Amino acid sequence: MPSGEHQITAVVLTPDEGGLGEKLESLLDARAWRAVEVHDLLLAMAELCRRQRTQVLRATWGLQAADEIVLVVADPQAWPDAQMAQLRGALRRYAPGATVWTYTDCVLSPLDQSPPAAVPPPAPPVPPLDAEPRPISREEIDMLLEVEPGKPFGPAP
Amino acid sequence: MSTVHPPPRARRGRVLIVEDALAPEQLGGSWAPSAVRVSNLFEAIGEVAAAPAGKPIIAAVVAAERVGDAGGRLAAALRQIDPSLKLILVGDGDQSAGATADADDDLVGPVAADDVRRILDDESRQTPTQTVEPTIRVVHRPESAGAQEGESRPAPLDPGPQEPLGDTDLVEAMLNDSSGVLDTALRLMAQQTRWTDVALTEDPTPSPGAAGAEATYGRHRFGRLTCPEATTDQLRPWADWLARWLALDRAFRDFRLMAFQDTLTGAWNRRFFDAFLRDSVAKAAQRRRPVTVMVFDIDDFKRYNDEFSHEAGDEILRETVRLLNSVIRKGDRVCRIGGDEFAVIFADPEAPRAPGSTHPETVEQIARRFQDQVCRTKFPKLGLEAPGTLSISGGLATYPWDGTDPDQLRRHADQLALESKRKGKNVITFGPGARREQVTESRSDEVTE
Repeated sequence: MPSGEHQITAVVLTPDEGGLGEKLESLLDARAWRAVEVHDLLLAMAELCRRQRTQVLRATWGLQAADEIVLVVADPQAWPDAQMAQLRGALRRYAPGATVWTYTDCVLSPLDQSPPAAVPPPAPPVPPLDAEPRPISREEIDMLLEVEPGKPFGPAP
Repeated sequence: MSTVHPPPRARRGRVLIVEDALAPEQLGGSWAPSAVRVSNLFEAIGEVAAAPAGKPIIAAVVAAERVGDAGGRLAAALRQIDPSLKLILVGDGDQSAGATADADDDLVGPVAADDVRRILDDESRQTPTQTVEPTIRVVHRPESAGAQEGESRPAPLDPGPQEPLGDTDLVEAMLNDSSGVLDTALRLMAQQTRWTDVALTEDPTPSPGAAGAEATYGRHRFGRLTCPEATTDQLRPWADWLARWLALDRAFRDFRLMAFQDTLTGAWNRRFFDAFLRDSVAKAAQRRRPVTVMVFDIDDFKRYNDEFSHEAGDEILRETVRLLNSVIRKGDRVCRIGGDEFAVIFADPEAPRAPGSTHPETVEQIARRFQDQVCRTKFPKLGLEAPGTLSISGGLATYPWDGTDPDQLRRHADQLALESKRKGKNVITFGPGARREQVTESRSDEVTE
C-alpha cells in the first residue's frame, strides 16, 4: 500500500461461515472498505485489537497515516446481547479508534456517533527521506562504539 | 508438541486475572508476578493487546465455568495477539469438562486455584530448584561470535548470573557484548530447560543415534545443537529459536559494519569519521590527552584516474588504505572522507609508545613513514613508466592546541593540507599543536621527501 494512502478495514462479524454475501460485499466495495471475515465474538475482539496495536505502532514510527478500523456486525440478533455489550465496552477502552456498524436487512448503518467519513481525510504529510545521511547521534555512536569496553571498535589495522 | 518451549521473553511479565478466578495473593510464590484484573474475556483480550513490550502479560487465569466450551476459541483469540501467552483455567473437572475440548497443550486446566502458583512457577522455569548449576559447553562459536583460532575443545563456561535470563538479556548481549548472543542464549536455554550440558557444535558427523538438531536459518547454518539429556524432538524447537537469534545477531553486526565502512577500500567512512572524531575529542577532553587529525589526499589523483582508468584509481585508493593500516597504531582510525580524500584520527590512548614496541611511535613518525611508503610503492596498474610517482599532501592538527572541537580541528587540518598543496605537493604540514605534540629529534614544520 502506498505510504500515506488512507484505508478502512472492516472486521465483519458474521454467524454465516458461507461468506459475506453479494449484497454486503458490494456495500463494502462501494465504500472501499477492505473486509476481514470472522465468526466469533472473541476472535473479532482479537482481530480488532491486533489491528489497533499495529496502527499505533506504525503511527509511532511515522510509517504511514493511521488507517481506520470498523467492526461490522452482520445479523446483530444472532449474538447474545450481554456479550455484544461487553465487546463494545471493551472496544471503547482498548480500540477507541474502531467504530461499530450493523448490517441488517441489506442495510449498513453505524451504531456509533462518529462513523468513518465518506471521503477519507487527507493523510498527514510523510516526512521526506534525507537526501544526505545525517551524522549518527552521540547516543547512537556511544551504543555502537562501546561494544567492548577497552577494546577499539573497528577493522583490524 | 514438546512440553518445553523456547522462551519468547524474560520473566518480567504480569498475570491477567479475569473476574474473580483467583485472588492476587494466590500468585505469590518463589517469584511473584504482578497481577492485572479485568471484568470479562473481551477486556482480557484488550489488556493483552495493550500490554507494553516491557511489561507483557505472560498468562491469563480464567474461571473454567466462565469459559464454558469456549476454551479453545479464547485461547485462539489470545494467541492471535500473543502466541506465547499461557491460558490457565481454574475450576474442577466436573464444572468444565468441555472447556479444554479443542485447546492445545498450552491451555492448562481446569486446575484448583491453589495450583496456579505452582503452574506459573513451573511454566516460568525461571527459578531452578536444582542445587547444581547448569554447565554449558560451547564446542563451536559462529564466526561472528568471536571464536578464537584453534579453539576446538569444549570449554566450560561460567554458568552465568543467578538472575533469570530473558530476551532482553539477549538484546543486551547483541548490543553490548562483542562475542554476540550465543553464550547468553545457551545459558538462557539451560535455565529454561534445566538441561545441564547443552552445546552448539559444528561436528558434521554426529554419532549415530545421538540426539541433536541443526541450528539453521535460511541459508545460514550455525551448527548442531546437542544435549545428552534431551531428545531430538526436544532440541529441535530450541535449535530453531537459537538459529533465529544468531541470524539476527549476525545481521545486526553486518548492518553496523555496512553503515560505517567504505566498501571500496575497507576504510571507515565519513559518517564514522564524524562520529569517531567527536567521540575521541570528548574523551580526550576528559582524560587530558591530545588527539591528532591528519587530512590528506593523493596528489594528481584525477590525472591517474583519467590516464590509467578508474580501475587503476581504485587500486591506488585500496593500496593507500592498506599502507596506512600497516603503519597506524591500534587505537587509530583510517577513514575515507571523500573521493581521494582520507583522514586519520590518531587517538590511540597508548601513544606515543606502541604496545610491545621499544621506541616511541609518534604521529609524526607515522606520517613520515606512511608518506615514504606511498612514494616507494609500485602500483602495477599504473604501468611500467609510472611506478614511484605517487605522493600525498596533507595537514595535521592536534586537539586542544589547533582546535577545541571536532569541527575546528577538521577545518584546521584541511587548511594545512591546502597549504601543503600550495607548497608544491608531497608535503605534510603540521599545525602548531601537532608540532608541539611531537616528541622527536626532528622539529621541522614540514616533512618532505
